[in-house]
Amino acid sequence: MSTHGDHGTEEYQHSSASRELLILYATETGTAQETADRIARECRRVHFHCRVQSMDAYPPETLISEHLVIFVVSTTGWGAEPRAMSSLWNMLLRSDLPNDLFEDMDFCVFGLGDTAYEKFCWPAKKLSRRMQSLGGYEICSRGEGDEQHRMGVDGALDPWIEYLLEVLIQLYPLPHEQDNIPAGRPPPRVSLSNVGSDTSLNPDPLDEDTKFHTASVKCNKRITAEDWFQDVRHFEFSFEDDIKYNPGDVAVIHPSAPASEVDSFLVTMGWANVADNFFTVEHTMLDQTLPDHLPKFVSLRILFTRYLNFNAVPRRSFFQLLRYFAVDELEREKLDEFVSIEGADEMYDYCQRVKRTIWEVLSEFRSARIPREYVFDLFPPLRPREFSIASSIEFHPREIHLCVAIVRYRTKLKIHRKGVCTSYLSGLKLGDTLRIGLRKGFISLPTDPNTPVVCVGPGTGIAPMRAVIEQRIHKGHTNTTLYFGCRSAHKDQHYHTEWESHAEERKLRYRVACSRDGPEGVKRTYVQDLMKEDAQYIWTMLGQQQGILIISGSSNKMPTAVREAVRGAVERFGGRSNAEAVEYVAAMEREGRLIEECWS
Amino acid sequence: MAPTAIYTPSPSQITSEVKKSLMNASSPHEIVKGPVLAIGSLDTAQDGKQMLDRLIDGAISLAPSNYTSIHILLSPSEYTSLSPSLPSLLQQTLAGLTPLGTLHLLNLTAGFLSLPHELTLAGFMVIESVRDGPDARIVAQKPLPIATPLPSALPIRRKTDPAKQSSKKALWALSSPSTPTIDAEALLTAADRERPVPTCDPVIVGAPRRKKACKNCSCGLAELEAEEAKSGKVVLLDSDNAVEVEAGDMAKSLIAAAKAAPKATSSCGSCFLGDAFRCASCPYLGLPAFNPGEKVEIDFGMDDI
Repeated sequence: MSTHGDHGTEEYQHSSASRELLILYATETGTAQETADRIARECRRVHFHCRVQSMDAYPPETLISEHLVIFVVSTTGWGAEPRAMSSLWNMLLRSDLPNDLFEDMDFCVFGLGDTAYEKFCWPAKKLSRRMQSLGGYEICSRGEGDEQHRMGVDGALDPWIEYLLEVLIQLYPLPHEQDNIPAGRPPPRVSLSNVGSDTSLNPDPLDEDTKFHTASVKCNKRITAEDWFQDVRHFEFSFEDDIKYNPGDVAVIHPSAPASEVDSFLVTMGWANVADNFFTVEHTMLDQTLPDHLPKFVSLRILFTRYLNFNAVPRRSFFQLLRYFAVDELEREKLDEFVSIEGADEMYDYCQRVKRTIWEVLSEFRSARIPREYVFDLFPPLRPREFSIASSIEFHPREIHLCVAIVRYRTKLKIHRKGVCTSYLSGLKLGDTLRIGLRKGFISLPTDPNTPVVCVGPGTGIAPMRAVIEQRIHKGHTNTTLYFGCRSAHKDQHYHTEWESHAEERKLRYRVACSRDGPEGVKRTYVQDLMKEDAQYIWTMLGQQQGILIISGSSNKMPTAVREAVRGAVERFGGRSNAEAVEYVAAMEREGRLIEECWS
Repeated sequence: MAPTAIYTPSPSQITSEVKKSLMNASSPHEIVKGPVLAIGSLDTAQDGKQMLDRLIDGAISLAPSNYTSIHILLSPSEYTSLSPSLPSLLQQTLAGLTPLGTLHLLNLTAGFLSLPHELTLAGFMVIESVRDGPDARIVAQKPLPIATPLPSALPIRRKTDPAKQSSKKALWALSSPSTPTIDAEALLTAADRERPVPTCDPVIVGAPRRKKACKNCSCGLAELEAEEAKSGKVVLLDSDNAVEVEAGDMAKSLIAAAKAAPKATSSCGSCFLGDAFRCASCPYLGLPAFNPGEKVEIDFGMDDI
């Protein structure tokens, strides 16, 4: 940690004009974004104006000119940083950066995580240590929000904010006595103005975003057996544009809520009569975030179809804000109870545990009169979702294929829970059009045709593997092995006819583990078990022939088990000790010979 | 553990030996009564060491402006090993003190000449310093909040040097993406890596629950959840009847049960309001709110499994 006392005795006072700071957030499901908004609101109390930006929307080269930065960082998967952080994080990790690079920066970090995981808040912890090692001055110790706390993340956030404000006031004292900003209902972040009927010139910013291309639906087919519990779809989208992408790249899709649901919701809210009146949105509280790609003129129907999510599971801050709008005494009491410390468990049980949605909550708190100005404060943005592309552009020019499991499950609530984006995708009909964005992934394939590639992609992890395999075959690289895992050979062995056909033509070696097909009572077979059986082969491919290993799929225990299988092969057939084998696998990862493309 | 305020031991919890030395060390500048925090170590007190380590590493933080005095009592070797983390600890204690609150560093050894400088840098005002003898100590005070900031209360800051700034800009922007990266995990200290212990409150049957059962559940929650899943009931409604049906083959049993429907009665009359207002034994739990007397229909024809 840098100690400023070593650098001489020049002092300077911060002028009151520059009471400005940057909040950079990296969110996975929207929580870190909401936390960033909250911190920005609280900073108003010490007369600071915040700029709030997502890490992947912030121009990284300007970071060097920032004097005061608050980082708000979520944890995803088993301790990884959110996607939005990866690019900036990799820049920060470069080994040639000097240790006084950020000596002019004051910063602090608030992490969001879950103590049920060993790597609790690791991305936040690593960021804090790295910024310190680059000369940054950490103005207050990092906060670590814990989902397991009775009050969730707020358990740590509430005291941390008070601490932060104390520090800010000390470091950046107010030049004279200023009135405290009164607590209570925050002002809405927007101001809405009705417009007449002439809304003809209303370009859709998504149409103009060049990272997105217009696609039409060519195929939407269920590839799991009809009587199987999971509905997995194979999608094919065709494009006019001559798009280019590589295996491992990702399709970005903005979902829309179904028209009938939006209609129903607007009726619940008492907005049916005004649903199609157009208005403009002026961003008045600039320190609060708004959804991306908002057009100039919108209506409530448009907002709730494409930009605001009424099917989100609300967090504590929603109930705090709703309290201001509830009129009925019973409802107000209940809301007070929910946001209190004593009522935290009850709120969790009522809402987050059963994944009750905002719409469902509002239909029980019927007295709430929500002014339309507050919709951007109450409803989270409808975020785009990402899906690994399951095709090679060389095999399928101007097309993108996806392999997507439709999210649908039961909790204690009688009505099924549904994934917003997968439900949207499942309802697409042939010929429907939509905008699809492309984001680069992290797979790079060997150029040498002799280098083996081993793919491990159980379940929907098969998606990027199909892209890899198709690309390799197109190039004439046939030294590819696929380990696929599913539950039932006849019900969910995705694309098995393709693998079997490639195998027959000696363009692929195919090994499949069907975990629930074994007899009752016998231990289930998974991809890692097949790899252990093939230990000698694994050593030949990855050790002797210096091949690469790509793992993709759900980031639960599978990647660890696969690494362990590789480690075992290195030890048994590579003549290494246990410790050397562990280091061998770690080295593979550093050299780019072990690539993990997993999601939570 | 997520950082939460440390609740100070009430004065009666401080052992009498420590209390005596606190009394002897108490400064005439201590003018306000209020919560006192004592931080010791394995060598000098009972359970202070963990707190000290956690404070330094930022794993826990003190409630802001809470303590009227903080007393730190360590052994000489612990003070020495504290040196590198001193700025962090001083920052924390400054924040935890009320304005004009005092920090007492007790049982100091002679080698502690730089302490006053560090204290000043951190924003304290040194009000008493006894170098030698058995009572060697330093007492520092947190200044009043800022109507008229004292220059010594601000940390010494370096002015931005424009020449250096532009060379840094270049370093940052031009560093090639193919430059090897450092091992990020090596940045973490031992305290960072410490596996957090999830708080597992004992299970109370029927009370609202925060957590799902962990994989290696040892507190009985897993069994309770399994039991609930098995015996979960489904309620079919029409006009003023509510029929309970076993979960299981939903479609068939619902249709059958609808025919043989005894009346179910509500004990509180609030069933129509929604789960937020229903009691724990309400037959309508899990169903949406409805208007009294209306028929609630849920399409059970959908794929249910």
